[in-house]
Amino acid sequence: MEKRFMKSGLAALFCVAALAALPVQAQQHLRLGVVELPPSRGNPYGGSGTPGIFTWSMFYDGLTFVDTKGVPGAALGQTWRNSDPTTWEFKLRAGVKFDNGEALDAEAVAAAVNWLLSEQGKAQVVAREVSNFASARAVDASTVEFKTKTPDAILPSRMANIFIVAPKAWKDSGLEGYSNKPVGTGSYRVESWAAEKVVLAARSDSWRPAKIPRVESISLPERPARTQALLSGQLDVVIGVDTGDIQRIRAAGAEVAIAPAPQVISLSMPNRVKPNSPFNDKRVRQAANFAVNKKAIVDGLFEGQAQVATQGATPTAFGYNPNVKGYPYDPDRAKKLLAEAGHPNGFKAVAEVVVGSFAGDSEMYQLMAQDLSKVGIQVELRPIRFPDWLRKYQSNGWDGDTFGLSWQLAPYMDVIRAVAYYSCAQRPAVFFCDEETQKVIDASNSELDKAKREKLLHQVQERYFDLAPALWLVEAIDVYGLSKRVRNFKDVNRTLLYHEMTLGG
Amino acid sequence: MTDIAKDAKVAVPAGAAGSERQVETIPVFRRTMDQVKNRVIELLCLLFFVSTLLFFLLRLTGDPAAVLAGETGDQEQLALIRRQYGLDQPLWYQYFVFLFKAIQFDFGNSLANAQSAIGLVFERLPTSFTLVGIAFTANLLISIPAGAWLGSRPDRTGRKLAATAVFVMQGIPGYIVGLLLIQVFAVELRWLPSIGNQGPLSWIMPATTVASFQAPHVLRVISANVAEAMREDYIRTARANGASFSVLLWRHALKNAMLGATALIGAQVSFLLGGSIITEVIFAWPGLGRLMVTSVQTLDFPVVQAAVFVIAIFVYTAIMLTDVVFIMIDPRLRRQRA
Repeated sequence: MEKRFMKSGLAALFCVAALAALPVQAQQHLRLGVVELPPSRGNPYGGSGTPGIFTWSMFYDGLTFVDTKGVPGAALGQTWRNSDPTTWEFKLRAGVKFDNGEALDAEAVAAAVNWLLSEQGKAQVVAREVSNFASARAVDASTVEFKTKTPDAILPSRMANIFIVAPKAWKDSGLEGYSNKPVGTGSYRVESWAAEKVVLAARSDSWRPAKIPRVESISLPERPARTQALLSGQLDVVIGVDTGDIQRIRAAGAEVAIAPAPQVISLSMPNRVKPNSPFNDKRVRQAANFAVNKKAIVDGLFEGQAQVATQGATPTAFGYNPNVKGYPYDPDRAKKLLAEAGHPNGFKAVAEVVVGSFAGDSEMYQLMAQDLSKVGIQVELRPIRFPDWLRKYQSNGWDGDTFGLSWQLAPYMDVIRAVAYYSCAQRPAVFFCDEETQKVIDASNSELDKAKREKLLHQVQERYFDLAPALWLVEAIDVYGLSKRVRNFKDVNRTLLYHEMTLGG
Repeated sequence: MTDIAKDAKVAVPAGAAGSERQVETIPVFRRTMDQVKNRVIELLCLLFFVSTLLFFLLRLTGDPAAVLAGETGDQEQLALIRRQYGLDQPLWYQYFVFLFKAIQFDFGNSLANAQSAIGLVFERLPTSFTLVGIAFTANLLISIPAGAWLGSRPDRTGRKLAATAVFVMQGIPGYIVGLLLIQVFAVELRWLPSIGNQGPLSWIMPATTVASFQAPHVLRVISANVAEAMREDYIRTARANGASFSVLLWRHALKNAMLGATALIGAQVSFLLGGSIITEVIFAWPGLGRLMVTSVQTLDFPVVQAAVFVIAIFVYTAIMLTDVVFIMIDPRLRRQRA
């Protein structure tokens, strides 16, 4: 009986092996592995930046497109000008059609902006971009005019973040229908939006036609699984590769693209949250910056690929001040500053952080806390969920003295994007404020002359370097894994230029 | 478990002493309907209890308006969102609205993407059921014969070693098994796809992963039960009557051994629909577990409520089917029923 049983077992194993030996079909189209598909699906106003941008940028466009230096270039808008400080006119690109055949005209653009100004639209994340808008109207078929309540120097950059939807389809389908079957002006049209997978087909009539006929965007949240899917040839592009996997991917014959991310990973040190917080004293905040060996973090956790942060901006962002050289690692100076601030024996503090947002964040915070403890700042890291972080952030209801908050520069690539968070005008709650710097920030917001504005932003960066509202740690990087057949891969501020990408043999 | 048997009534006609027992024919339909009615009432009570508990527990996890508004959301925006989704209403009012709609199987729309919450759940059900079905089958195909084999002669060296291996397997997390399988069969050998539901080949690794942490439990239970059964008097009697080892094992010992394992298998199936999250994440399997986790993280209450509602129905059905299987394989229960 036993022999018979063994034979049956072997036969079953053979069958499974024979079935499994069928080769995995090589895919003829681009397969993209993303961390997550946009939670709002095809509703481009329900989110901003990652994760949506990796999928939306295939089929949506804004009026402008911001390059890595923070300069807004033409997209659906061809040219733009101020007729007065609060009036902007955009001339639209001619001949652009949505993928359902509707024409892109000034009425469509005005309708999109006016919807964001409506009661329903104001509830959307992207409505923040139009909070200073007074009106939007079509001057003629190809000219749209925006009026703002106060001068807004970065309005052209804001328009990169407002994707234009097809007005008729938007009205007919409603938010629910449109989210499932979005209609855009981009290189691709959405064929199907299923659970965890979006299939897109290239449009031959697009103003930026794609070279790859078909794309599948697949959600794969686990980093190791994404890397394995790349190495097994099932995906062509994977987003969010762990720096620890770079050598492994290269050794396996695939490629890696490393792009500077528009983000400085930081720990905020607010001065408006708790009246008795030691961090209300500038010297304590400076001491924290001197205390942490950021180079060790870069080398240890980012394989030397990232850069030590010198300020709350990345080097290519508009307004980055190259004269600000950052805080060197100097624990002795940190101790001295702490003593001057009345904390010769240090103090205890709580840092509320969200872990799992990016690769190695937990380890990074631990290294940071270790270094801080060496100079006497005993930081208790308190991991919290992102919804809790949001609630605390919106209400300034922090239990701790500090909290994790990156200096985010996308989508404008302009230092004002990050600085605005740390300003006296921050909504919904002010957690850091310096009245003197605020005057410069306000001036930069309404300064329409580019050179003068850059000078003002340099001043802001200088002042903020001295004020040290955050413990700037690392200039983040984005690591992509690419199969060998992917050509012309380009990342611009986390927007992938799919229409330029090609597939080799 | 024995409700069906308990409710069954048998009448022995007067003056028919020693004659065959006759079952009343007319009340059979009524009895069955009564049983169905009882089950439906039980299910409704369960759904009411689960939904109510979940409704209030979810409200303790946070404010969905904060998530929807994002980090740039101000008080005005938060108020707008709360008004749009009825989150500004008193909790008791929200609860009654929820109950009223839930009765109509309407859980509202996802807060994240405006899709029908129950629609999102149904979108995932086919793939979830595929995984449940295949993993369940794999579990049975592995654990029943292997458990019987291990339990039939547990003192042999080879089986002792195999039993130790099974014991070790029980402690290996499914996460590790999944990644190892992908490394070997997708990355190195390139035999199997590891992402999504792409047809039969793509089912093998997720199903094996699930089976890898479920089968060892069932296998050990069957093995122990078979070993015990093989020492019973009825086996000795059957052996004395000339029954072959194969007949002893498969026809007699295994049947008895399955009694204890059936409850475990039933519980595992109940768990599978929403609980194989690790497998779903690793293999990009668009299942219900992943939808639930994402929805809990983003405080998408309608979707969580719809998913839990459907899972509760599934779990209840699985438990009912387990009862039926018990009756099918246990002659004592059948006699009790008759």
